[in-house]
Amino acid sequence: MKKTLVEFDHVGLRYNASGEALSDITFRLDEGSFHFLTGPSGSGKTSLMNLISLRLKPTRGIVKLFDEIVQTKDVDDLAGFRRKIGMVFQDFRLVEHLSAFDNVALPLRLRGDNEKSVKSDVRELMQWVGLGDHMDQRPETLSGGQKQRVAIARAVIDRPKLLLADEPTGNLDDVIGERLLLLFEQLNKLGTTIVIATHSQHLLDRFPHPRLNISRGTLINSGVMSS
Amino acid sequence: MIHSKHSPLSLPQTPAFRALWASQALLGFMGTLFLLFALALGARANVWLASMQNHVIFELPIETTNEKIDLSFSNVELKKLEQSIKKIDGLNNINGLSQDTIADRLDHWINNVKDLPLPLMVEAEASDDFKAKDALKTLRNDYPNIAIHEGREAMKDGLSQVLTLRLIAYFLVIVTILAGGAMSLTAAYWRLDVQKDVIDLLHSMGATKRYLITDLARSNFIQTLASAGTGLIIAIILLAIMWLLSGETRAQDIEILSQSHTLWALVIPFVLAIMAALATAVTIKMRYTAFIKRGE
Repeated sequence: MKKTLVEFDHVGLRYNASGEALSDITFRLDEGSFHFLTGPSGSGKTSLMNLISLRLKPTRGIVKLFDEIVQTKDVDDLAGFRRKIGMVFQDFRLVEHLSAFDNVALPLRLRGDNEKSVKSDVRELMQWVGLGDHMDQRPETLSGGQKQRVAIARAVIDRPKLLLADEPTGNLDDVIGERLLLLFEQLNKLGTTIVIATHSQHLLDRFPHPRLNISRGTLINSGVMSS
Repeated sequence: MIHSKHSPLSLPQTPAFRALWASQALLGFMGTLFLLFALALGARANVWLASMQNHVIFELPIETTNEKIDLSFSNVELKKLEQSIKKIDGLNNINGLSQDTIADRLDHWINNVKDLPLPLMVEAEASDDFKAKDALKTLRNDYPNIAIHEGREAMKDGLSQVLTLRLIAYFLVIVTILAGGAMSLTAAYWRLDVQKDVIDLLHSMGATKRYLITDLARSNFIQTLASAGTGLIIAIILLAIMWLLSGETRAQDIEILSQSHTLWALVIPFVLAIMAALATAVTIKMRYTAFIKRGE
């Protein structure tokens, strides 16, 4: 039986008094699964991603990650959980005064890896995502697609248990987008659980993984989700 | 800990960063000058005190009649005065000064000193038993015009002025450090504002609060130490140049660049840097909730 990696039980999220941005979200994701999170703009995809990545705290319900209820954990434990989650942001979130190489190396250096292994791991991955010739460039000199690839490389460099990607191929052409989805699939085969929020019908058609459909803050197909 | 050159929390080299750097260098420069000045004044005052505070001079003015200088005072009379003084308790090393010695001593201060009516003078070292009032009372029986000058008394006004100047210099050092503290606090807030996205990113990657505080405080410490240290080096170079150029004005006597004083001046950049690190740590601790605690 597969281990449950993410479990939401009647989770709600309220930003202000006007109403819930997410309501009654209940689902489970098994370890090693691959899901798309779909839904129209403003439906709550990013909010749900932020809840899973522990960037937001739910206003009600129970969130379990890696088989543990996160609401009972202290600050340091939550930091430990976050280190197991890779996140690709819609707006890249690259550190502007660091090179592409240093941006990708950030999770490894935060983890305390030695510089020799950091260099070889980062170079290998940057070659793979097609940025071998751009390693020393600052983000401001990179195109949108190149920035996206740096952001993706940074999210996957330390082989996270759970990878969350918010519109990761939004700035990429279909060929590069497919190539990155293949990278995600390879990581998934190595055991990483993956959730990708996307609008891209092309990707949804090309990569037939189960979907979490969200609309107006509510999951349409909730329950156990496994690949 | 990420090496500073790779640190996402090092400040980008913007004009605002350069202005902060220059301001901290200026504070380091001013703090160094004020501290060296205060230390030099203190040292000078101590030298004066050590050499003068036990020194007593007995002065018997020359008597003049009808604008004609009466030079009747002789070595015999000087010896007589010396003998009278030796009878007073609490005095050692009593030494009568010849007219030539007095003239030599006054030569730096008064022109054509040898044409003036010079007094009879006897110098001595006073112990704690010496009472100037009692001595004066005794001596005035034979020498009604005699005066006693105690080193401590003579130095009183000058010393008081020097000590006041030293106090002002120390006060300016404190003001400089407080200004540095206020600047560090402002810089810490500015830093949080400039780097909130990076802090949020690191937080979402699993960086702990302690890591963020330590790394930001360390980064601020190093940057302030470098800028204030530059100010210190400029101040020392400037003083050294002044020292070299001011041979004839005897500026060396101020002892402003002695080795121990220069070592003490190193305190300035370190104090400023420690204040910057503390201000950063406290600011982040207080503002942490507003920035990144939404998920906890």
